[in-house]
Amino acid sequence: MPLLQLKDIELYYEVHGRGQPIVFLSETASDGEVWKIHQVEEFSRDHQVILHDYRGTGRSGKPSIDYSTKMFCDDTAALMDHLSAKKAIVIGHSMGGRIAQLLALEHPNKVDKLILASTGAAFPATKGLPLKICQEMIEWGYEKYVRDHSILVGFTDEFAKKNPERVEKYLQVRMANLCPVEFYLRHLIARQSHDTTGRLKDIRVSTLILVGEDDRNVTSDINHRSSSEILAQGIPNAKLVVLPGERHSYFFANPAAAHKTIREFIASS
Amino acid sequence: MPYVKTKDGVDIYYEAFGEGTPLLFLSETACDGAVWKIYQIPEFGRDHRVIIFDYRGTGLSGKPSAKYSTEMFANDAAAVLDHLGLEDAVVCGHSMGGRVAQLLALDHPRKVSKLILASSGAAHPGETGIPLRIAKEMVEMGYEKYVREHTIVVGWTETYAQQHMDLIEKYLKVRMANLCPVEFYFRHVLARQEHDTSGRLKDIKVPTLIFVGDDDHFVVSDLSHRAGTDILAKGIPNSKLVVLPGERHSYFYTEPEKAHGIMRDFLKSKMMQGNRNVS
Repeated sequence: MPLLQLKDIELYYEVHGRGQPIVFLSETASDGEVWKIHQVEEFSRDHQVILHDYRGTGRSGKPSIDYSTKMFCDDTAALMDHLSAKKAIVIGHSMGGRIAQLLALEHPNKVDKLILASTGAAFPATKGLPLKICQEMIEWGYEKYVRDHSILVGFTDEFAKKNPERVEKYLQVRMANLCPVEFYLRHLIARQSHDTTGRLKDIRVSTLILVGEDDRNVTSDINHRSSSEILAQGIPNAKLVVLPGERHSYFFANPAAAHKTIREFIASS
Repeated sequence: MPYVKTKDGVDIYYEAFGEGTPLLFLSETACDGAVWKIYQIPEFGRDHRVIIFDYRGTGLSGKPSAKYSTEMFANDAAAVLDHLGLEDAVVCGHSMGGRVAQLLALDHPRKVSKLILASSGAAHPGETGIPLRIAKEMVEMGYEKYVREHTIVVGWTETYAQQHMDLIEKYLKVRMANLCPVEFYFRHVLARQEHDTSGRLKDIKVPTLIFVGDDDHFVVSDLSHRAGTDILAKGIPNSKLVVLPGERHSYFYTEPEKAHGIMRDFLKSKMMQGNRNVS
């Protein structure tokens, strides 16, 4: 079990393959396991793939304190230091993309290229726990909420109907080690408080912005489709690619198009 | 069924009992007005015009899925008093109801002759939004179980709960009977957490009785009612603080005589008949 002892917690991580480092950063309250469904196999062929469990998730420490995306960013930076990983390609999905932005801003030497997948810079109108999420978690129960919400946000109805086995394969991994609800909520608060809006102009590395064209679910105040546009307008050296027919979780059930776009971006920039 | 329609179109359910000086009761967070019927209506309905109502989002009142605020609740209370043609009421607010009562005195001064702020406060300075602890416990325990158990732990000391579960159950039957949907519980919590009259306490000019249980130390977000009450007593010029020994948050509903005696003393006290907020 590769565990890195940080100042206040142990951080679980895995490394696969050799080559230019690629750091994968998961969505809210999700551990690193999800990248092992498709991305580790694809990118470890010619990269050093680094994934980890955020504090509060998976096998990492779970202190009952306030979390922030800055804290997740510093944990990631400490892991990269430990692995002597420099000039990495950083792929952040959803909340992971917010952390990736901070990594590029606060630790510029560590980041060669950014891939911001289905993410944004801020939730301008909703700080703190979104009422809708709390309400649904209580009405449906925590596990059912995460499961149903993952399906609804992740996949179009058509895709879920045609490919139930691919959706289930992802959910099996996503739900396998679900963090206690306290830490899901701590992650939500961290995500809602994140705001890099005024700093996007300072992100200097080549940035690929990916989003599903149908990623329009609104849990608090802005959807990923709209917030990806804000990223594309704010980051100077950015390219926006909209994935047709996709919602939020193409990485885990329909990765081919995303992988192709990422490969082309890595080769070209 | 007696309703008042507010300016923004919400039906507010109210009830009025007895004749005499108007006495308005304001409930705690996400609690309708029915809880006052257990002991306060029989006691004060004898010689007061006692008014209770269901906050928007609770009981028989309208429940718009919109943002709520304590200002809004105060305006709803004022609309009920207007509808009944009442001014110069004694306003007794419990917990969040005490926050609403402060705003009623500040923003609708003609309506208020005296304030009774029971187990309340002026602000939750450290935490806005839905407190993590509430969300976590509601998810883990379920909504109804949370309200029930939270009410008990906040309401009474362990010793009291062990000895008087029958009295507590009598209250819980009323409290839980018409529990609002969880959405509106949260909308009330959000309204409460955002309330802040800290800078305006000095402008509350009416005689104010503040009371609190000496064991009301439970912290849901950032400040206990015991501590919140001291801030009120320091900030409100014409106020008197009474600490109820051995009590937590819900003495009104199981040990009402203690609170009623203090309220009656305050109501007849000549010393405290000071200025209303308007001259």
